[in-house]
Amino acid sequence: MTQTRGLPIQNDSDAAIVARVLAGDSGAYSVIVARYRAQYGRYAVRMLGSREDAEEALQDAFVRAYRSLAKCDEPERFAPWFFRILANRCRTAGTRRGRRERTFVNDEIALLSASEEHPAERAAWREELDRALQRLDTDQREAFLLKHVEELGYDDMAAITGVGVSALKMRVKRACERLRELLDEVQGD
Amino acid sequence: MRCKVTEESREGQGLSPFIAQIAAELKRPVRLDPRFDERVMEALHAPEVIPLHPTRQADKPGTRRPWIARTWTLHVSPIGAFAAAAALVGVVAFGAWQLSPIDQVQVASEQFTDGLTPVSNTGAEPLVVHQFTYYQKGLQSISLEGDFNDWNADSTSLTEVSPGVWTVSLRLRPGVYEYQFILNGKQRVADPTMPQTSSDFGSPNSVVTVSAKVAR
Repeated sequence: MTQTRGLPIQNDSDAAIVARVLAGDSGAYSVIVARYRAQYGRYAVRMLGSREDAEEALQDAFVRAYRSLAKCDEPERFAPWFFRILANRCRTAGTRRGRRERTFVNDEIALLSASEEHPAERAAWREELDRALQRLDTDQREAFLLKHVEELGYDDMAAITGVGVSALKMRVKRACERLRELLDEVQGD
Repeated sequence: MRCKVTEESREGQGLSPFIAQIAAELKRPVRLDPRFDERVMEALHAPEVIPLHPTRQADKPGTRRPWIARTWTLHVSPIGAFAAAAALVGVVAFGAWQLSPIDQVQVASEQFTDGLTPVSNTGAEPLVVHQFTYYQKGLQSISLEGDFNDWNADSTSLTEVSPGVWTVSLRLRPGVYEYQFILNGKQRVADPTMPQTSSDFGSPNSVVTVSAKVAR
């Protein structure tokens, strides 16, 4: 018979877990990984358009965060600190991808959760949307995802990207306009 | 285009339906490799890249390596080199004659009769901590039901440890388990980040393979 009792550490705050890791309990870091894998995995996939690239960037970010954990001045705010690392890794990975001249990789992720009512229609819509998203400039795509998908405020976005609020607002606005253009083009076909 | 896009509202009047529709689509969870956590934990302890040609301490001005680490040059005449090679061959041949194959077998045999027994799996497999996580903002509660708790959602609740991040960890025996999350006490959903299988009740179950390897 399996035991189903939750473990106290799983409900601990980020700061408590970070303290455990810094005290030598490296296994406690798995709690952090499991806690933020889904949330930030989604961001990485949307930024990079490919599950493989996203997993690589996310893993790299987790490893870098682990090795720099002592430099996390506010462990209770581990999530935004980690997000900053991940955003940098995604930008670097996006640059590498640009060099490879790959514009978009449509893997199975886009089709995993297709609507039960109109799966083909929904899959096609997602494909167009993902393609349009990947055609945005990296800065615009990042700003759009942080604002409208991750639902961050502009101050938090500025802390993560190191870009001023005014510039971020402009990027979000431009991203919205560009997405509309791109999707209207498809709609007009 | 298969999906109609509604008109965008003016700037500053809130989120337009157009953007809201896109955002909702992009908020769908994604599925990562089920071994992702394991890979990350392995990578944490992987050695960092060691430069192929590290700068040697002795190369820096003002430093001197110990004698054992210094580079020495030995000049030998052809006759001297031949004599040294012959001596080396002689030493190797003498050693091989002293240690016969029978002696080697006897040594190996003695090791096995020295009270050692083969390793065997004598006990039950240990429990492994597995963490279940669900990410969605705006929920009141999430519970978990599956093979491991006889599909009793009342026994296992998730805790919101960070805005929208719900989690609970269970000690499980290694094996394959099916499960679902219950959102706000009524909506059954599969874990969008894990493989799924059909269930007897319409909505798919998620499948997790708990491996003893990840026990820590």
